[in-house]
Amino acid sequence: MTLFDCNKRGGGKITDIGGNINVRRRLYDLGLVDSDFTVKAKNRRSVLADFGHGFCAVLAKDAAENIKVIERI
Amino acid sequence: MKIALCGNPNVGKTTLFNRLTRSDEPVGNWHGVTVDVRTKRMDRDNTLSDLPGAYSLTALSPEERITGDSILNGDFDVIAYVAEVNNLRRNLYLFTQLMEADKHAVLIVNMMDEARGKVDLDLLSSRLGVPVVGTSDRRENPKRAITAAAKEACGVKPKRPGYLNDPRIKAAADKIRNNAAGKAVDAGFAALKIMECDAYVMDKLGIKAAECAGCDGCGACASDRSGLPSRLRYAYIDEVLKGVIEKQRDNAKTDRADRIILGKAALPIFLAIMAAVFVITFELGKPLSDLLVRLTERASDLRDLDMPDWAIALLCDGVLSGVGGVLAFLPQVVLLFLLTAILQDSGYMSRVAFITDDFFKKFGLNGRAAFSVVLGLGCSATAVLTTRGIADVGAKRRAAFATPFCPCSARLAVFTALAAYFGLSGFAVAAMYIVGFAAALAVLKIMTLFRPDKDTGDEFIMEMPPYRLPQPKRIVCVVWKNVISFVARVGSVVLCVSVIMWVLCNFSVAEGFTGGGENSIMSTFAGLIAPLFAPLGFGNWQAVTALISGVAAKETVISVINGLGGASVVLGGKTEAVSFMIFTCLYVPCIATVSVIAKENGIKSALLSILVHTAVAYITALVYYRSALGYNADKAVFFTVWTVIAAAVAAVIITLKIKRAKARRRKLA
Repeated sequence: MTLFDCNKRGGGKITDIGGNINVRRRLYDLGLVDSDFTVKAKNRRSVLADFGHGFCAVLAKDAAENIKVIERI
Repeated sequence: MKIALCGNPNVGKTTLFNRLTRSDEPVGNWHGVTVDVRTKRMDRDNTLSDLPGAYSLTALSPEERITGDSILNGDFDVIAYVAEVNNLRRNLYLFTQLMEADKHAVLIVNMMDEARGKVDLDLLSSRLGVPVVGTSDRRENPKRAITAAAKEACGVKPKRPGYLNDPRIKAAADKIRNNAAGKAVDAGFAALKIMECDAYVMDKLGIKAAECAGCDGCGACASDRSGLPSRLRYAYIDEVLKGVIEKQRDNAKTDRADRIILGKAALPIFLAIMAAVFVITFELGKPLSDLLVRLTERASDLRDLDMPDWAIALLCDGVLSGVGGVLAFLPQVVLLFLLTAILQDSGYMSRVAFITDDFFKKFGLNGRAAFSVVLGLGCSATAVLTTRGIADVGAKRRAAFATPFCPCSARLAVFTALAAYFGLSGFAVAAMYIVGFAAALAVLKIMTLFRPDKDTGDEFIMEMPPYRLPQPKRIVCVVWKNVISFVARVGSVVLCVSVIMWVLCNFSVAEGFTGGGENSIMSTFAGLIAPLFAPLGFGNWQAVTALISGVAAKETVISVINGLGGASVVLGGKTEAVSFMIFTCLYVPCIATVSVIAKENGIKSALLSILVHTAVAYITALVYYRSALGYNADKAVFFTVWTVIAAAVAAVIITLKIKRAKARRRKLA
């Protein structure tokens, strides 16, 4: 399952980050791997999520589809 | 000392820079406001440079490249690193890279008044081995504390992070030690950067990815799948921060507000807020503005002065009438600045980028364009400058092209003056904004026909700052700065152009002072091209003269009209006035904006911009005026708005049809 597949108000834990090297590196730089997240809003091309530690960000669909997650039930 | 301010975007670097150097550089509660390095004197002995925000020294955007370059190659004595108290974990990531690169540094923990838990700065300082200063807007000016900390940092070798002793890092560093030694780059820092495929560092060390001396064949540096450098850095940061921060409270207010603002009603809320901005601007500002108009008219009627006729005419018709006619609409301009400053400071603008991202993507842009559009309501030149933060070259060019269609505060002065004079409703002024936006979208849609066939996926991630209560002091400073800038422009550019235009319109080569009329220098020149504007309803030399002066600064349009006898002499009736407003709304941007477009995107872009703006203005004003001859003035405004929207829809349909045809041809091939 990827971050973009999660529903609004859904959440979970990020387990792996794929995509091209620049996208991957930036997401690693932001400390997203192994972090918990909650989806705050979503549209057709992006998702806004809270990644904890006071960090909220909008991720484009391409990047969000390369982030593997385990969804919180 | 030469001190550089750096840190992640939106941590308050520029606000701090303004405080320390008594400057007034633009700030905003979103990232991407600072796009260049600014250096000012802090005091007699020290200079301070404000660097654009960056998440890492490995750059992914133009601003990060500037910051990385400045830090690694600049001659700064100390880096003053700014971190936000509620985001220390993430903010310290870039700081660890400064430590790796052996830079003398001071840590400034900003926004201490907004801390959602207790922070032990002394413990943090002892763990990092650097001086730490806590600051906030509400505390006293931290200049002395920062200068003292910077002096202390200069004399102390920075502490090396423990993960540089990790066997994997040491092994990689040993392999490239020779390359690094000759280039004054720390081997441990270089090894980590090579693992991240940092092209700049690899280029500096003369290492190609395929021949990387730091790779033992595991492929880690060619594609950093494990994220080893990031994991090591964050593990170090987590150790450093243990016990430094008391358990932080969640940002419940921001979460609650986002549930509504980003919910199903996101777009209607945004449109309602924008409508409220315009209604407040026009309705609240009108009474004071009307009073100023009456005062200006009285002042320009003072002709019983013991001066030559030409001097009286220059003072009353050129200066008072011209400059006063613009300043009379200062109340509306101030209100617009105030409301946009509140929106910017609150953190809502980043949400606007998310809400409008879907919409802007259909026009070859992304949500970042919303920042430029809102800034464009104040000044088009500033708005075009902020497009520098858009990494995708095509999207940047399109945003710079389209933003000047959105009416700026100078054009607002023209619209409100003409609306007041001809008794046009507030809708006529609001309609100019709708026409401007619709024209921008129509042009953007047509431009996407020529875009190469790929996505504008440049901004794959954008940080969302928390909501903040707009700080009255900051709002007042921003509004005051913008008002001073507006008044200064009126007092300089508008005054000069008004005087020059008055001279050209009241003197002839043969007769000298003519007191206006058809024999003046300007009437001869403008009269040559005036017939071109007859189909638009204002084919006279006075209107053309006003438009020519508007190339220097849009406010001069109304000042020149006032100097040439007033709106009724120049434009005749309501219909002609609206046609003229439409043309003014859409034609050539002011010279300041054109020069910024030329600087950012090249001379060709600037010239194309002039051509396209003039063509769109001409066609739109023509559609309005010709239809108004069949209807009344107000109905024709509706007709024009719908025509422009219809043109935009037609452009969308044509684009989709062409794209589908291309896709079918590709499939068959």
